[in-house]
Amino acid sequence: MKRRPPRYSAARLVSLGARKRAWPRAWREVPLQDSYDVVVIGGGVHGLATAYYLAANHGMTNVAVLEKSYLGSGGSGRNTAILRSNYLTPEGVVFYDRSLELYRTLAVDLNMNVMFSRRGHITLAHSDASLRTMHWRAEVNKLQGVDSSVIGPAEIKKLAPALDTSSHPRYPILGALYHPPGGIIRHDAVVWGYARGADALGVEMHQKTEVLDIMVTGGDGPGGKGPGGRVTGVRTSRGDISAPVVVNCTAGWATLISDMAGVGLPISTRPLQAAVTEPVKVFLPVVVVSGTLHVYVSQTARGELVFGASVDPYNTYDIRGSLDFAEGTAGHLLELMPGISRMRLLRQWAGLCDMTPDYSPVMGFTPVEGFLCDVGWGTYGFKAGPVSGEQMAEAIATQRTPELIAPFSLSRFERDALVGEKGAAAVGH
Amino acid sequence: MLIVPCPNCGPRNAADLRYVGESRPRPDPNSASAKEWRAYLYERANPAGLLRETWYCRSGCRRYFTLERDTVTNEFTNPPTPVAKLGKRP
Amino acid sequence: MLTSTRTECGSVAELPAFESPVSRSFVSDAGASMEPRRPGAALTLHDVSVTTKIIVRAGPETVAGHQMDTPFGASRTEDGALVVGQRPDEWIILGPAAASRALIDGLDRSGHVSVIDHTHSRALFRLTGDEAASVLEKLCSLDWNDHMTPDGAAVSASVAKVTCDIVRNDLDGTRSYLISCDRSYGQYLFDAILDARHEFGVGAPADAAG
Repeated sequence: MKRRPPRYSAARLVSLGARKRAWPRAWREVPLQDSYDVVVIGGGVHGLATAYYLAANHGMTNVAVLEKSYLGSGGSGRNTAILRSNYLTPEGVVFYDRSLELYRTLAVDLNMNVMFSRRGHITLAHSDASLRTMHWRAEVNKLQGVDSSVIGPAEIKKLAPALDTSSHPRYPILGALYHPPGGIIRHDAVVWGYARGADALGVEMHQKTEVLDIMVTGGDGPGGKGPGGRVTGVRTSRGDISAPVVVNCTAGWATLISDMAGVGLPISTRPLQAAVTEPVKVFLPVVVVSGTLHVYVSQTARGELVFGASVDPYNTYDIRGSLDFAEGTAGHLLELMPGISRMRLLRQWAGLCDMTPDYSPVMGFTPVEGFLCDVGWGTYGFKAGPVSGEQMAEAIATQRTPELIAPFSLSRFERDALVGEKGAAAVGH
Repeated sequence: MLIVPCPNCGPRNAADLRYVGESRPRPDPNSASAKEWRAYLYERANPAGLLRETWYCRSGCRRYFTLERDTVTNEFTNPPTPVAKLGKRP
Repeated sequence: MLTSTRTECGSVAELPAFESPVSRSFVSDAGASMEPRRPGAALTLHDVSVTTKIIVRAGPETVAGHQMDTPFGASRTEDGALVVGQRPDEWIILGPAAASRALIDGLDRSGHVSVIDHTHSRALFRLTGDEAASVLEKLCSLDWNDHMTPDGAAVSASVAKVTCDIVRNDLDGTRSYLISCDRSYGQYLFDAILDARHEFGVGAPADAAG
């Protein structure tokens, strides 16, 4: 059931305006059916991208995305919207570079202005040890064809004059890893773009539809669930759905959904907090990250400073912000940029992160046939959204694990083949 | 911020403690199979609800202890009464 | 069984003329007594790092544990030294400068006991004055009211994000706290406390401003 997407363009804006007509809805609301080829749980960027690429690349359109709240209500709308591919492991670099490649043409592909600003990304080094890691990362990046290099304080000052590059702060800036292709994007537009694109290809999105159980037969565990079983469908707050393939894209809630299928995941849920200041004239043209000070900051097109820290130090599903975060992170930000001490905080929020032991995701097939996972993204799921969707769609359509995501399979914990990405996740761990 | 009821020191900011994670027995490394050991290393309960967990009172009494907390409301079940009797020894 | 801490303790005892290698204050060379209150000052901060600091760890069944005779969270004075129940099985003895030899010799170290002279490794400050609790409240999350931390109370907590051992030890009825931290954080903590008490309108004693 393919239908023409309502194209967004300047001409259409003028035409609709002149006729005093509203834009058509970006996506339909349709009744929930009792059967689909694929059910995707989680209406964030990962789930929507998976559905979109299933339809766009593989022609599978009998797909439903189930979201218990509204689209983009989880981590997709709560992250700090930073994109980069300067990771430490070769697996990570290749993977994120593909994601950046997809993000680059996303506005055209989805006919949605996602406001991708490739403004450059610098990761500060405050010690000889971290400077050495920066060199290591730069070399790994260059080998994989990713633009990345180590720069000194003089160049840093040119890129971001607001930074205190003098020698007297507690953590003086000794150098930085400069990654020109990195930048920021409008995360809501990415979610809406994928939703609209998927809808145009016939995929159904069902908001306010919570998955209560996953039906599995033939498994080793209680109720026929667990390893060896196969998925037959899901029970939702709006009725049962039968489906041979169910994909878990639920980030912070990943283990709750996987437990329903009897699949254990090595994941802990931790909140990550972020905050935004009042808007001011543009003064910070690059994304700045400091691992030592646990802070990353960028200035939005509106002029607000968006900044975040590391995950909270204990497991919880509670997403209230804390004064401790606001005070601590603001203090760290001031150590980097003393000049912004008079800026006021507008608001702060938190999102749930699904942390794995090796800080790499869990993607692909599980011991339950027909149950796939795209979780464990921790603090950097947003920047991996497009490539995850593309690869998961390929896995579902071909029934084979694509090479790009093979290192991230759940079975790596049984094979002692962990992918340690801790060194390169700039902050957050 | 989360206030953790240390059984020795009393209520403390979570920043004064270190979160160790779910409380569970460590298998005997001499007799555990590789599968059991991996399960101990990687598998962890992550419920949205009650969780028995270990904390370390880093800045206070420097003791490990186990508490039960609801991971949705962050409320501790039966917070212990602190043993510290503050004040001058008579 | 010889544990590493006991070996360390043994080496201290075996050195015949051992004195703390750094028996001077690092904030200033002056102001080295346990009676630091400057007459007329409403709120004073003194560096008393020269105070002898002995950390005793002892199991519940040891003679040393009974010698301490101070429960966790409390403190008492004995022969001019302050015995502090800093942790459930750990005590800190604060004594006059250069008294570590005498204090250590007075302890029964039989059984599972560890005695370490921390005079050189810990900084110690005394914050005295009626507003002292208000200053601490700015730096530390604990309740410094009389009913929670009366005179003699011993707690460990983060002060200006530095882990500190704190004893309330009033001087002639005036509120006073002994605050100790690792020596390397000493200058920072001293400055942080000075900064925190700024709003109460009193400067540092000339000899301690360093």
